[in-house]
Amino acid sequence: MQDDRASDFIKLWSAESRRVYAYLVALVTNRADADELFQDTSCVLWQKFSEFEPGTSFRAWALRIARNKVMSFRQLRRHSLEQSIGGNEFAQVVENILSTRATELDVQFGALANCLAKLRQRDRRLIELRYDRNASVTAIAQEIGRSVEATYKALRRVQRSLLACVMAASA
Amino acid sequence: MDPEHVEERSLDRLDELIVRVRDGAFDPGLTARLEAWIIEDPTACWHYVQSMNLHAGLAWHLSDAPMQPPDADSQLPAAQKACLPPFSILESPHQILDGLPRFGIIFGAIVSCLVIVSAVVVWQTHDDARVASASETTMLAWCSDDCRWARGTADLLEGGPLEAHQRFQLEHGEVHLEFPHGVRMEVCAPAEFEINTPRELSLLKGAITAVVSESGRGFTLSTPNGKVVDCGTAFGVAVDDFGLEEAAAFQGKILAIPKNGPGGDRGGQSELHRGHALQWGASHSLRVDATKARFSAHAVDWTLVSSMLASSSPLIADDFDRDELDKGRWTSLGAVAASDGTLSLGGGPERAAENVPYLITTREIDPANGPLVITGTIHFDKPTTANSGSFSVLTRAQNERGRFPRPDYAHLATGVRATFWPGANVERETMRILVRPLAHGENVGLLGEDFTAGALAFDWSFALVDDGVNLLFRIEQLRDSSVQSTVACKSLFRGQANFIAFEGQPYAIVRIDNLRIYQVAAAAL
Repeated sequence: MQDDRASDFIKLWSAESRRVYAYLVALVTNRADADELFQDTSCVLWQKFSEFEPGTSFRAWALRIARNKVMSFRQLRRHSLEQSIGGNEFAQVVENILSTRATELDVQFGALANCLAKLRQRDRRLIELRYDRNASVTAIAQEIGRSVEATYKALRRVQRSLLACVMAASA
Repeated sequence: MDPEHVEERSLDRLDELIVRVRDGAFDPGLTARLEAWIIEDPTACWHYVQSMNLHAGLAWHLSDAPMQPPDADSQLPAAQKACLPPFSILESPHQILDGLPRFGIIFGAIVSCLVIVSAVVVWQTHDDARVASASETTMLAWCSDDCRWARGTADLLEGGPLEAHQRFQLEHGEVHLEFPHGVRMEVCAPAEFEINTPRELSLLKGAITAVVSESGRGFTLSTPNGKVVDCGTAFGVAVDDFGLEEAAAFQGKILAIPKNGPGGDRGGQSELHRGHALQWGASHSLRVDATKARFSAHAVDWTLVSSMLASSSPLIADDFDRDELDKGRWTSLGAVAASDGTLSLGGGPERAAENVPYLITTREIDPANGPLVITGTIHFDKPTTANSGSFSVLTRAQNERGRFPRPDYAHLATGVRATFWPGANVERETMRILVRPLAHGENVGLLGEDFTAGALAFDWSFALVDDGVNLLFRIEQLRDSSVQSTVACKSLFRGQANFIAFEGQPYAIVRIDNLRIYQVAAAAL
C-alpha cells in the first residue's frame, strides 16, 4: 500500500517537478531561493500527498503548494520585500501562462539540449560556468580574463541566442 | 520607426530588467516597474515566462553533478526510518530516479528530506553543532516516541519543515522545534500553535520552553491575551484552558506584554528578569516566581497514576468510621456530619444557598511540591435526577467563603473546582472543571462533557489529579466500572492558599464513604 502510494507520487512528481521548478524560478528569480523552495515544496507535496485527490490535476495542486511556499517565504523575508518581485497578482498571472502555454514551454525545454549543443565552445563554457558551477558574473569574469561588464554582455548575448533557439523550436 | 522595431527595443529593455532582477541588481523602483509591466502586458509576461523557463531549464540541465544516492536506511537510526519519505522504502532509489529527466535536482530535493532527518541525529548527539539552519525554515527537530498530532494536522516528519501559517495541534508527547537564528523550543502536549515567521510563534494553548541565542534576540511569542518578547535568554510561556497565561524568565530577560495589562492596551509591559514570572488573564496580572516545571509538565496519564497508587501511602486516609470529624484532619462549613461510616454533605436544616457544605483539610497541601492524587467513593441519596445534588473536589483553594456580590452560592473564595453533577442534564451526567482565580470574583471556564450512566446510579468512585498545572478528574460507577468519564485540562491558576476541599449542595445529600489524599514525587508522573 505504502509502495503504491510512493510509486504514484514518484510518477506524478517526476512529470511535473520541472514545471514547478520553472514556476518557482519565475516567481523568486533568484536561483538559490528557487532551489531552496523547490526542496521545501517537494517535501510538503510528499507530506500532503494523502490529501491529493486522484483524478484531479496534480500540476495545479503542486503549483498551488509551490505558490503558498513562495508567499510564506516572502512573508518570512518581508524586511527585503521591496527588493523582490511578485505579489499574489503577479504569481497568478505567471501561473496562468504556465498552465495555458505549458506545451510550448515543454517543447522549448526539450529543445534546450540541442540549442546548447549548437553553441560555440566559448559560449557554452560561459553558460556552464554560470549554471553548472553557479559562479557569479564577477567570478566568471576573473576566470575568463575579461571585465565584469564585458562578461555580463557576453552572457546576455548567449542567453538571448539560446532563447531565440528554443523559441524557434516551439514556433 | 516600424512597430516591429519598437517591439524589439521594448523586449531589449525588458530583457535588461529581467537580467538585472535575476542577478540580484535590485532596486525597488525597477522591480515595481518590471512587475507592473508583466501584469499589464501579456506579451511581456509571455516573454518573461519564456526567459525564466530558459533560466530554470539551464539550471535543470547543467547543474547536474552525478550524485550517488545515499543508503538512507543504513545512515539513519531505527526511530527515524519511520519518518522517511517513501524513497527509502523502495528497493532502489536508482531504479526510481534513473528514468527522470533531471536526476540531480529531483534527487537533491529527495535527499534534502533525508538530510533534514539525518540532521536530527547530529542535533541530538553533538550539542555544539546545533547551528541554526541557514534557511528561513522552521524544523520539527525531534518528536518523543509517544508524540501524536491531532487529526487534521498534516503528516509531520521528524527533521522536516513546519509550514508557516498552519495550525499545529499536539495531542500527546513532546516535540522540539528549531527555528532559524538560533531559537530552540520544546513543546509539551496538549498544545496548539502556529508559526507566523521564523521570528514569531503564536501559542494558542499549551506550554513551551525556549532557548534563544544572541542572533535570535527579539523572538516573539504571541498568545491570545498578549505577547512575550525575548531579549536573548531562556524562557517559558504557557496558555491554559481558562484564559490565564504565564511567562517566566529562566535566564536573561524577557518582556511580557499582556493586552490588558496594568497600563491598559498600550502600557502593560513588564520586564521579567531571571527567576521572575508574570501571570495574567483578561483583566488582571500577578507577579509570581518562575518555575520551569510548570512549562514542561506533561498531561496526566491516568493509567500511570492508578498503577502507582497501589504502592503509595496516602497523606490522609479517612473511612469516616467514627461519628465525628477528625478535627486534626478536617474542618467544615455548612451541614457536614459523620455517622454510620459515612460523611454527609448537605441536607441540613438550613438549605439556603449560602450554606454550601464543605469538608476542608486543616493544612495546606501545595501541588507545586508534588502532584496531588485525591480518590474516594461517594453515594447520592437520590437516584440520578436533577435534584440529586452535586459533588466537587477543590484544590488550590482558600478555606473560607468568598463574599460575592450575589450570595447565590457562597463558594470558597478561590480555587480550582472539579464537579460531578449526576442527572444534571435530562438524565445525563455532567462533569465540569472551573476556576475561581480571584476572591469574590466569578468562576472562569467550564470544561467537560456529558455522559450517560444508563440505569439509575447511586454509587461512584472519583479521582482528581492536580500537578499544579494539569488537572485530571475521573468518575466511575462502582456497580459497573465500564461506566466512567474523564475530563482533563490545564489551569495555570496558583492558589493564594492550597487547601483541599470537598463540596456538596445544601438542598441534597451526598455521602462520602472514604477519602484518600496522596502527594507523589513529581518524577513519578
